[in-house]
Amino acid sequence: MKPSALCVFYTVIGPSGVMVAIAASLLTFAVYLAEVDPAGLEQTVGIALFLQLFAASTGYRDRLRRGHFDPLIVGHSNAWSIGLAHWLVSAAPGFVVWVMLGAIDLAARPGQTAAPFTLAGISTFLYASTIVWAVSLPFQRYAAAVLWLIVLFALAATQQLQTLRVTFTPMPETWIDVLRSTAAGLVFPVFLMLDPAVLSLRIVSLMLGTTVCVWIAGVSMIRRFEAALVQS
Amino acid sequence: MTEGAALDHVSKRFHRHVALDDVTATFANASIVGIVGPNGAGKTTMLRVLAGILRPSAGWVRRPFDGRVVYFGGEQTLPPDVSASRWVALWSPAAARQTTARRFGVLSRGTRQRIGLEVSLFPTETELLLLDEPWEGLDPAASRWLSDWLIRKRAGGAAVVVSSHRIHDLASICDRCEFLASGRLAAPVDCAPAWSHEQRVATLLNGFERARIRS
Repeated sequence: MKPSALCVFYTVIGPSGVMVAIAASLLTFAVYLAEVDPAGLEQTVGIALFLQLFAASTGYRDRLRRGHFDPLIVGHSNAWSIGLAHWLVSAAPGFVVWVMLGAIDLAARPGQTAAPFTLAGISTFLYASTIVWAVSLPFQRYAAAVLWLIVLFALAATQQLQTLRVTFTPMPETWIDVLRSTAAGLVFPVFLMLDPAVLSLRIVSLMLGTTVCVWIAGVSMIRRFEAALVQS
Repeated sequence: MTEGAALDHVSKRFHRHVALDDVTATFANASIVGIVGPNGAGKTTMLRVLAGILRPSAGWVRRPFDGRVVYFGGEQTLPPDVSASRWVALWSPAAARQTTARRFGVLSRGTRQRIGLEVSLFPTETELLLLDEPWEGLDPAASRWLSDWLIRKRAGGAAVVVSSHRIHDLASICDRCEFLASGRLAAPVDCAPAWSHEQRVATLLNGFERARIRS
């Protein structure tokens, strides 16, 4: 029996026990908020997005060089299915948490739109998951999340984050403003979640288009990666 | 004998370093071929090119359908943070129940090697079996167990290619040995079945010495 790419990746790079414990704590916190302060549920979405930066940053090349994926590569010659499986295992656990947060929000506030289920919420989640996944591919686990944090700290220290916040307009009128807002959202996707119900469809489309391009670039990287074996 | 796999003028470069240089070799079904050479000769690269993990920089590789190729690069290629039973369960849930649930990282080298080898030897439909230093870390009983398994795989029709420094173990099972030095193959040595074990060992040691001097 040859194991599937999904099974091998889930076994080798699946969510760690610590990550599962943090996700469970977040969901417990969301249930608590749903009881005492449903309006506060929005903050759990931000925390989930932040966690996803780490969870989806699984890395590829480092483990490839150590031979951890050998049985998979010997048995599967289709790099696209390997890439898809790696992306799914990286992003899907966080997506489950995202959906559960949306369900808790819906249950707590039946008349309102749950932020994780809006177009803005889904596109933000997909983009954030895919960009950290792709950036982490040449490195070790969590590398992309750490890199992103460094960039954010640098932007915040030089007041550029505030400039990006001012640049971001949820409903821009001209294409120039759409591009500027999208660029701001690409650097700091949390902007898109500030008011997810009124986000421009053009921004959402550009975010999703960028996500697809990043995904293709990631799989192309996986196709090209190869290296001499290194000792663990 | 039918051809199980072949390398046809294969070269492999890592930037400026030439790991394999114009290597041509065939590996027949129902045979065991040993790859012998000093450290850094290119044995691991040769096996990984044969397995399809590395793409050759030049030349052609012929091997069976992917699902019938099995490669094990040694215990150091097992993920240290994964439970041994979870790893084995990927291939055989029944065997996983008899395997320790402890992580590879906390198991002894010999235990890791044995578990990795067991997983590689499970598949019955293997046509090309590639093992890199398989006897490393094994005690004498486990070494004997492995040699018996390789002979059984050969009897089942598989082409078995084994790289090793363990001349005595190779001499007891190999039909042919290829000597690799600085990425180039020297003339192969056929181990005649009629030879005594001592004759085989002496022949392989001579071949290894010539390869070492060449490199």
